[in-house]
Amino acid sequence: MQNKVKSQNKLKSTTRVIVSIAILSLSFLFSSLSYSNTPSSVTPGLTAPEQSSSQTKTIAISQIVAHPALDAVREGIIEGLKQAGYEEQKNLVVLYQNAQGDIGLASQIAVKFISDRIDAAIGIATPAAQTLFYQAKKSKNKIPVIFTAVSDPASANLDPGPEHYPITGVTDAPPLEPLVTLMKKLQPEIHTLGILYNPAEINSVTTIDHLKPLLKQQKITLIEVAVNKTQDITLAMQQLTSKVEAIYFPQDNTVVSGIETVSKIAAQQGIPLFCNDPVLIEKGVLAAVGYDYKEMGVLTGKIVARILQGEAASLIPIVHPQTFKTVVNEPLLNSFKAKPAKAKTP
Amino acid sequence: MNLIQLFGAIELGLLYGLVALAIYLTFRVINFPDLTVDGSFPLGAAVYAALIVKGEFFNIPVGPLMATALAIMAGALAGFVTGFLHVRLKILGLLAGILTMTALYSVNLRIMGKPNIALSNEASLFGDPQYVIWVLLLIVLGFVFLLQRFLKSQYGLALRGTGINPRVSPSYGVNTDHMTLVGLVISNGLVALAGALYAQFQGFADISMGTGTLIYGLAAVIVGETLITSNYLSLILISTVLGSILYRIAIAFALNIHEFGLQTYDLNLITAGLVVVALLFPRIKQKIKTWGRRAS
Repeated sequence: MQNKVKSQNKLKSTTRVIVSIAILSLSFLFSSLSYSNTPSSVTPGLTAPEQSSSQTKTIAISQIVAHPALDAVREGIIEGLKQAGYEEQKNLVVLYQNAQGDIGLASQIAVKFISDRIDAAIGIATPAAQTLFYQAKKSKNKIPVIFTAVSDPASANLDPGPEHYPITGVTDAPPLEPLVTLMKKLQPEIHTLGILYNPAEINSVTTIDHLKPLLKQQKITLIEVAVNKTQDITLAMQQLTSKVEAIYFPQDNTVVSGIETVSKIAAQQGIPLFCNDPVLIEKGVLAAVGYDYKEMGVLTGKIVARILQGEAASLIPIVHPQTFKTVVNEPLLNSFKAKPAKAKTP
Repeated sequence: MNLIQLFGAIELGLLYGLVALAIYLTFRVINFPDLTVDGSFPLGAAVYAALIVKGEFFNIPVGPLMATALAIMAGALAGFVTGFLHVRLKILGLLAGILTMTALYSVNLRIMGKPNIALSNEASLFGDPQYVIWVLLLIVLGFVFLLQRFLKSQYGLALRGTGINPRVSPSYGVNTDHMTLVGLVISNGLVALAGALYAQFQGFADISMGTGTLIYGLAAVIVGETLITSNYLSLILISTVLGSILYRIAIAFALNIHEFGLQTYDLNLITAGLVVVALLFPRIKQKIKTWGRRAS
């Protein structure tokens, strides 16, 4: 009797093994089925009949996380491509995936895109670009990789290297010198500047490394306060406002997500805010010098278009956006002039 | 979905299979809900990347093998800290894991010096990228074999006893505190190994790469358990790895949803749905079986 039960159990586990193998082979079957589906044949209705299918280009965009600035870049890319004659639903197919902050997922997205017979792969922000570049180098097809919104492409290893891999892109290292000049102009007697940032964000860390020598030249003391998550902002701001005459924050996802809290506390304490994102002026920032992220996307889109037209990506240099915007919140400035910030005792 | 995607999913599945094995060891064998893994995964990557970039450790030149070994040791140390907090300082297990994980975030930043380190491709245990999948398979099977041998040894039986019956085990001369510590050390060492391998496999280490490690591992363990229920230890361990691979394949499927007219935002929903289907699979099979029996 016992033996019978045991053998039945054994039988059960064997069937389960068989079932799981069947699932695996089923997925193999699925994969070989859709292998013949090139992206252009997936969306047959989108190609105009008079155009040959070779003219339709497919690009893939991998974005690390949903974020207003990064979303603006993505919209800009589509617009830049449109300006250069590549329009969605006419001669362009855009594949888009968002890793939702998960790097393991980002690398799986990269595997998918690079294997999808695309004409160009675009990575928005550093980890998305890195995962795409790694997969692209691994495949034999040499799909051009274009990165954007990356502050320091060299230290992220996003360069063609000795094998001249087709990679290029747009860097968003913010214009810091004009910002410091503007700061001095608006607040000539500034001595201490507070910096609010998340030390886990590579863009913020590189920005602050570049800012330090500039502030030293101007004899401005720097007080850094780190926030690891949005919830830390209140405490960090309360600590900072009692010590400094102005506060700067870099293009930091954590701080920007909590901008309402930042500007509320700054306004209560009468401390002006500076940053690199002109859009944030509406949120109570006194002055900003920076790139418009949508324009950065347009610039990226134009580079993608050049590559789609056949230009070699390794010959296109990595670019900075050419123009930056300087914006000052005039009503806020006037209110500061009327009521000058009180002198701080450290 | 195509073959390259499938192989990519299997690669990642094998890599996270190591994490799944580690989580099997804590959640199932010693019955300890260890949350340290979300910190020890990036810890492994951080130690590996920092050592490779520096090229030396206390004036000793460090290669990929040495760096990986040190990464495993760092992970084991993290596991030890969690164990110490729990066993000696009597902090609740769940909280001990959370505390170590939180502290590791700062530690990892310290180790790396910046939130993202890129590695050149030469420095890796894998060699040519085409071999990655085979090297991973070899490593994972090696660890399945080692774990199976270990858990069947006298010592391993005591470890399993700790989880199954922590009240009776001491009367058989098993030091359950010691065993919990050992379990955590091995588990987090394995997770750090996975992190170090991930860093060389992707060519970079990033501070945020630990997000969701625990969830993936736990899902893999449960999917594996559902697909193959067995009393054979080696089969259980293999099913855990298989669960991890199937989970990744589910994601790969979900990534192709645009072919069925779904949106990018739906990705996590689809993945969760596919895993639910996988979990319900044995039950559906049972239903069909009883239904068939009734019909005949």
